[in-house]
Amino acid sequence: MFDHLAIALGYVLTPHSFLVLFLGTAAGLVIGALPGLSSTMGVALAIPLTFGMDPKTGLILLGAIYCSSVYGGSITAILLRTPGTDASIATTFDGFPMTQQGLGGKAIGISTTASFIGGIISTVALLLIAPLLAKIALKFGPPEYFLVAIFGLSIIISVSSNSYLNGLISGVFGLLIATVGMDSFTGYPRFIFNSDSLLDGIPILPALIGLFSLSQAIKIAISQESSIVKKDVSFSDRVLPTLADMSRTWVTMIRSSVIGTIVGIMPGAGTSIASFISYNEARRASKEPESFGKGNPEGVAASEAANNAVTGGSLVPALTLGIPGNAVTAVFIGGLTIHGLIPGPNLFIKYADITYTLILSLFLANIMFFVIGIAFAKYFVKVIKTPTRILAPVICVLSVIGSFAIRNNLFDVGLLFGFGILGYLMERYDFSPAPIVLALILGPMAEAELRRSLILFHGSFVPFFQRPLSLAIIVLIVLSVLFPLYKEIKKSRIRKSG
Amino acid sequence: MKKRDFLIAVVLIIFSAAAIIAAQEYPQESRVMPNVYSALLIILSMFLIKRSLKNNEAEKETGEHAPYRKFFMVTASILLYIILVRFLGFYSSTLIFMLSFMFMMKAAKTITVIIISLSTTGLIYTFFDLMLHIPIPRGLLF
Repeated sequence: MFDHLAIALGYVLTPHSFLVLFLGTAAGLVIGALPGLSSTMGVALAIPLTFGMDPKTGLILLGAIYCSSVYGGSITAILLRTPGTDASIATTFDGFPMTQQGLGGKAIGISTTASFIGGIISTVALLLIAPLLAKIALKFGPPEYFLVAIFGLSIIISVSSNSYLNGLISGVFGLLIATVGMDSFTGYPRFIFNSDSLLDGIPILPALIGLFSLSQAIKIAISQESSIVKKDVSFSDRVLPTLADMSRTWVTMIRSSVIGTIVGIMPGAGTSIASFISYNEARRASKEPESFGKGNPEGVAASEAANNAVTGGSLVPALTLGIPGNAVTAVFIGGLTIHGLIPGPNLFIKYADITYTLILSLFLANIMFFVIGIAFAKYFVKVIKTPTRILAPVICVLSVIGSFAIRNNLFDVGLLFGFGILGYLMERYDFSPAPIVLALILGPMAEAELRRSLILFHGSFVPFFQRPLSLAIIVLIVLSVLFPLYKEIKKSRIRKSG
Repeated sequence: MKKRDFLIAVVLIIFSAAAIIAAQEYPQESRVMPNVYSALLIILSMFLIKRSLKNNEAEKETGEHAPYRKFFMVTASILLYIILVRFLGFYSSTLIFMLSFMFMMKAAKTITVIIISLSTTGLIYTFFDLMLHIPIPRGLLF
């Protein structure tokens, strides 16, 4: 590991890499801070740019955007009570009251520091856990990969939506359209409507850019507001946290970072869930829980440390098993595959120098947004006022160029359009588009590995329960399906009795 | 709200049924999974119909008007843009799209609209074409 890290360090510490890192961080900050533009959109729109770069540089760019956009959401959450991304919803609880008390700068300072600590701790976890998991994954055969894909699907569907049924429908719909393309076992083309462009299945990136970028462009173009952010955004107090602030919040930051990392590793739960859980934990652990929601800096620290801690954690299953835990890592996997890097143990063996460059650049990205956040937060808030009617066409143009560039294929631009409208309608009618993307990645994997296993076992399902690793994953699946059901039943009981 | 859940379910059932019919000619092995997914989707849609019927009276329409006209205008202009790209090429269509889209939306002052359209196109040319050599759709014009 250390020799790979040394090689990676030599690569990352070049002016060229630093420039990419800086640009990615700055872009991520703005994208994160602007309500309506998500981390997923930022990473998805940047992927076409990476075609022209070597894989290492490309991954540095994507990593930087991921980390800083999750942090960027806190700026608008604190100053305007409008979270820039879902990740920062819990940050508004105490961040905005602090702004009202004239402590906006202090709140941003705390959030910047917490995000930084969360990001660093989770990157350390990624560095330590991922190679171990990759080693275990080396022992995986088709049945294990099949079950891991099912595990990813089950947990994703159960938590990604407000309603269990809506999440399931999105997921199964995604699975069905994931069968489009040539069946790799029989060579028979399925649902391709005589189009050669569909032989390889529905290309993931145009679908993704449509569901997460173009749909948002349509949404903000239609919305009545001329600018997402209307009020004046500014603050005047000091940003850099004092020692007193730090001694008050560091325990919360560390605890929330650990929570965020663990939540990140679990497929399905994302940044917003992590920040809610650790916000509640911080309140429970506090000596004065009643001060939460009224401008307690610990609340800001808890939410922001946790959501940034998800970044490193979520890359653990993505890099080692190819299981995307959330929409951003699904995009990440898309970005890796484009460069011929198939997620799996090989990333830590054959392509180790590339993988460690990515991990190392995550450290630097966290440092970079910390420095930029503390020093320039005052100026970044000005960009937030960009009128949406200018943003919308720019996002459209970038979506078109991005989906074309992947295969030099105008057919993909048509797909982009279809998925853009689908994404817009789904969001409007309370169906989350995330399960579709995850199903597009996991569906083909699940089918292929299942059929491979059945050939291996001569059509019998019994061996699935006889292999220790696959049995362990089956237990995980059962738990992940039962737990949300149990919660749902409990909720409806409370509703009935109350 | 609940009426549209009902409609969504009906659309999904028709969609899945069509998938099952289309898959009939596939070899046995290739059609198993699509059929399983389609059947699942039909069952789930039934649950959605059940839910939509149950909540029918409880939830009144919120009176929020769906912006159909705007939705149609926005999506139609994006579609036109994509068709233009195919014939004229990326850069000229992008310029036309951005100018007309922002004028249509009354996004900013005329001069600002022109500057933004030109600079976006120029920046994309610089980054994608000159610096990173990423393929860009070409057509009759630039």
